Amino acid sequence: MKTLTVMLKDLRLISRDRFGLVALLAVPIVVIMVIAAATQSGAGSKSILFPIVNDDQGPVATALIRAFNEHLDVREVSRATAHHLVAEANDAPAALILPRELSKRYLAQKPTTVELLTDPAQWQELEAIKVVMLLADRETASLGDPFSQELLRLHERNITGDHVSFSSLDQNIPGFSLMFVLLTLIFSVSLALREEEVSGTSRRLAIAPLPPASLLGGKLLARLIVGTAQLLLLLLFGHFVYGLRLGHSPVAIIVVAAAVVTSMTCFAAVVAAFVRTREQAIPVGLAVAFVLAALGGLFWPLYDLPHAMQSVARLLMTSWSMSAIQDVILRDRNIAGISKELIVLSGYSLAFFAIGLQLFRYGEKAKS
Amino acid sequence: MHRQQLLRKQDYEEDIRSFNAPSPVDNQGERARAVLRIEGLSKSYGAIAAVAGVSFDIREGEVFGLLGLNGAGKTTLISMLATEQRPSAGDAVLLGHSICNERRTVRQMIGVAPQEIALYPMLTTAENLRFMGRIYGIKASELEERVEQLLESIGLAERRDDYVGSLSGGMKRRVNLAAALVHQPKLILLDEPTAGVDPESRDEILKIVRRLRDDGNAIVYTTHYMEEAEHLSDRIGILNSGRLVAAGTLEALREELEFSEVIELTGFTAGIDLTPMRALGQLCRVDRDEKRLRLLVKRAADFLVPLQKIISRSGKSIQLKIMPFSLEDLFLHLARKEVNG
Ligand SMILES: Nc1ncnc2c1ncn2[C@@H]1O[C@H](COP(=O)(O)OP(=O)(O)OP(=O)(O)O)[C@@H](O)[C@H]1O
Ligand SMILES: [Mg+2]
Repeated sequence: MKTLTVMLKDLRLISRDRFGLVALLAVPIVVIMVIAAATQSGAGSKSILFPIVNDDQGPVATALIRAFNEHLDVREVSRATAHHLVAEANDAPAALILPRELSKRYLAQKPTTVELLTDPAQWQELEAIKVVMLLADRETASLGDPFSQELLRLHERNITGDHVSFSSLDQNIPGFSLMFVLLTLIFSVSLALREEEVSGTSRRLAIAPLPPASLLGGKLLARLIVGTAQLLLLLLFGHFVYGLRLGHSPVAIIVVAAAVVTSMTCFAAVVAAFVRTREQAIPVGLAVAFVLAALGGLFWPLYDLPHAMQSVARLLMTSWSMSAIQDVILRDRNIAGISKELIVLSGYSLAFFAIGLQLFRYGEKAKS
Repeated sequence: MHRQQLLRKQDYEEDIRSFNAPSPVDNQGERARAVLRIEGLSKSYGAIAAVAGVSFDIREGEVFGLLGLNGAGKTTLISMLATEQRPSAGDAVLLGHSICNERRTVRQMIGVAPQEIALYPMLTTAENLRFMGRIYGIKASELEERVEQLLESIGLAERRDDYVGSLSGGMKRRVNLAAALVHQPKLILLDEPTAGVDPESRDEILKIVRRLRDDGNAIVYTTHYMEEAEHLSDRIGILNSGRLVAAGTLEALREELEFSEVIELTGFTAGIDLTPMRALGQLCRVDRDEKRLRLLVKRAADFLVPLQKIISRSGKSIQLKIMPFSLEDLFLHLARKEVNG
């Protein structure tokens, strides 16, 4: 009941900050538009150089090369040149090696591994290439070629079938939306707590008959509601303006948004405990949000990270958040399909809230 | 040594126990019921003893004026009573409940107006009060009426829907006070409620405090304004470097002194010879500077003859004023006395 009172009061305070509310959506939308303009695949990808080493010289290689050529600046080169273009000159983000006997094995229904030499520094172009490779696969399939899903392996990873069909927008819109929600939450939770100190009201609340959990919980609930609405509106913006898919289940997307934002809100409470002044909120908030976004796969797909970092990423709530959202919007899963992510995110939420509350209590006690 | 500091918990536990027992109905008796008993309350910050073994009672329907210079420990004492800070030693018992061990209960019974304004500038006056009411668990059905009543009593009913941030400093002070009263506390702690307001707002605030007292509330009130404390307080306590150096009614405090009136001579006072007055043997203290001579005496009337001589000799260049020893004089006297040892 008192939690609700604190929440309603904070919601009311939030609603009074008109500029803040507009910025909540306007800033990420502007950034998403810039990113989208810069990374949109299609028109721009024709300028991407894609060296291919054709050791196969068979029909499958020819079909693939024809398909790639529709979207990319394909050049058949020698192994040495390919290596040079990618690794030394950095003119091409990746080169594809179609091995000897590819066609033969393919037609015999035997799987083949095709090697993609990449330059991870050019991740955006690389991503475009991956998208094109996927398109090419589909196009060749539609021509009636017997491309079955298991027969073509990229870097020992199957790029078709179950794997997510990334386009840069599918990655960037949810990724940047999540990043901004996280950033907003870290800022706003830290600032709301400091604001309470500046206005002196934290002293009043500290001596009111109200447990710290209600106080912190109420404040977080208000932020959680705003954050969930922010995330959903950003995804809807992506949907209507850029055609971002939102999956089949509206319930799932709302639930996943709420779960994701809950874990981020509780995390923000932990960060807020370390932000002692309003001025600290900006550098601390930026640093934490960017590191979590970068490691958690919000800026680029996780498979673009080095192996060591990928294992770190799996420990972060941002990577669970991203994969939960992608499960819903790209893999069309319903709530049952993301139950594992929901459980993990709830676990994070509880743990962060407990830690945040402990730190909050400790902070209050330190003052007395 | 500070006697109070040596007071140990065992020493007053007996009192608390007897206090807890239902007492015979003696509200109409000569001594009103003690609402709050402060026993050896202390608070240290490292080497600084902000409050050092303070003990006193506060009774029903009483305003207790707590005076002290900057840094004397007033805010620290108030914040311990408010359960905001934990005492380093000692305890206080509010209607049978310890501020150390029964914080939840005590909090519900206390209203605090902090020294610094503590309100949400982006909520309206009424919203601020309503929020405090809900936090203290006031029923929705009673809250609206209570808020209206408070707004009326602080004279801000017309500003009910204005953001607190847009109110003047004096108005904020009044809202700050009202926010402490929404839940009708038994003990009201006011930390310099008139700091930085104009005389009109101050009168307004003092009127509110008086009304609260008349309703039977117990009020602890800190201030720098001696005059204010003199007019408002039933009893006065003077804090000096964390110690309560005096407590009681103004009359009682005055009686302890060997003088009660001040004779003030202004004008060309340098040449005045005090020998005839000293001969009367009752001159307690002389403060002298270029333009002013202050004589602290038991009874000014005893000095009328020599005074008349002084004045008639000086022509019109000297003015005479006789006044009672004010609280300000008393306070400064006590403060100075302590500092000197
Ligand atoms: N949090 C704190 N940490 C360290 N010292 C403190 C703290 N709070 C108060 N003090 C010290 O305790 C002493 C009493 O301070 P307090 O604020 O109680 O004085 P005060 O009588 O309210 O003064 P004022 O009239 O200026 O409000 C001062 O020496 C002050 O520096
Ligand atoms: Mg003070």
